[in-house]
Amino acid sequence: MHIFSRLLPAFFITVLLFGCADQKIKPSPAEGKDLFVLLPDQNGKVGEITISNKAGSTTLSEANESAQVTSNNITTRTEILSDRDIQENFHDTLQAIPGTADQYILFFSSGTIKLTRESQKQLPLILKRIKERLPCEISIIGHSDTEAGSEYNLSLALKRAIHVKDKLLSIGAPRKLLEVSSHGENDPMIPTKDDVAEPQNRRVEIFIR
Amino acid sequence: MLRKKIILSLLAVLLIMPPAAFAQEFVGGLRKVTGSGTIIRGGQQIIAKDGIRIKMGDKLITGPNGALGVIFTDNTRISLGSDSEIKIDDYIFQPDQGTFSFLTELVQGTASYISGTIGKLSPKSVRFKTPTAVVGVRGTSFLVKATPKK
Repeated sequence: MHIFSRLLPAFFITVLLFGCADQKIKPSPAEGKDLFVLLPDQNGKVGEITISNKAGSTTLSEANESAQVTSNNITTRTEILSDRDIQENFHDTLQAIPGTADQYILFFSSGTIKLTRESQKQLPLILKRIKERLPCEISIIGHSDTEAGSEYNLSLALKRAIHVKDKLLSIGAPRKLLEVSSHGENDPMIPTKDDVAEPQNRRVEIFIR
Repeated sequence: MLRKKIILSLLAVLLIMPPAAFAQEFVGGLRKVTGSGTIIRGGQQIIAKDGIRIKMGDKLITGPNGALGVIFTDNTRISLGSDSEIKIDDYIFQPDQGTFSFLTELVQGTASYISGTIGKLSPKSVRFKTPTAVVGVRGTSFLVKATPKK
């Protein structure tokens, strides 16, 4: 609310400056208005959002850049909001953002479901973290490199994921929370051409969230 | 003969149906629930609590002092402030088939969105609707506040 009232003087000045040309921009009081704010991600990287409706579209690409939109108007004038403005409008929403998922990556010998010795050692740590994060959900995702056919790799990656699931079950992980899937060769850690052996891509990712 | 045909066509249907229809019953779970919140699923009300899993089609509603977070199976995170309502209209996360879809609709209130794997692997599959517009996302995080009609 405070942002809107703060914007009001600026709005009137604009109307004075540009006269009737901008009159259609004024939202009628009966109209709903949405406020959009682009934020940097947790690594400080800023992506992009494009807001569109029948009136057109606008793109936000800077940290804390904001736009107000009604069904009949998309402004091209955007504003960088202060952290205080953001807190005023979104305090409770920001507080409720779930924590990032914990990610673990386990590696395998070529063409096998055999964990490397280093990765094998991580299993107890992963179990400990699962218990700390309860209630949580766990994804176990198998991946392969691009050596051999994609069907073969899809199934190899699934076998790897199932192998890790069994290992975790054997040391006491809760079965109900473990979900297994395979991304095959489609989601490499290190992108390569087809038919390339890449130890870093022969992996199982575990997300605890 | 007829029975055989029926069985065969049933089998065909089962084969055609994407495995996700079985595997991806739950699309995420609730976290950081405070105050009052409700999940509406097929006309039934479920009280929002940490750890409760959510499904596609669920409506999530918070009360005047409520807030909640959702973490999806692709690690997308969405949170709601007080007096807010959101619908999970569509969610498909099948990287093995290369199929993705993520359509969320903020009906009212405030929400935050932080991209997950769907946003990374297929940004064009992510759509976030609000009462006035649709947001397309390129690997990022944003906030929305919908001020309802007076």
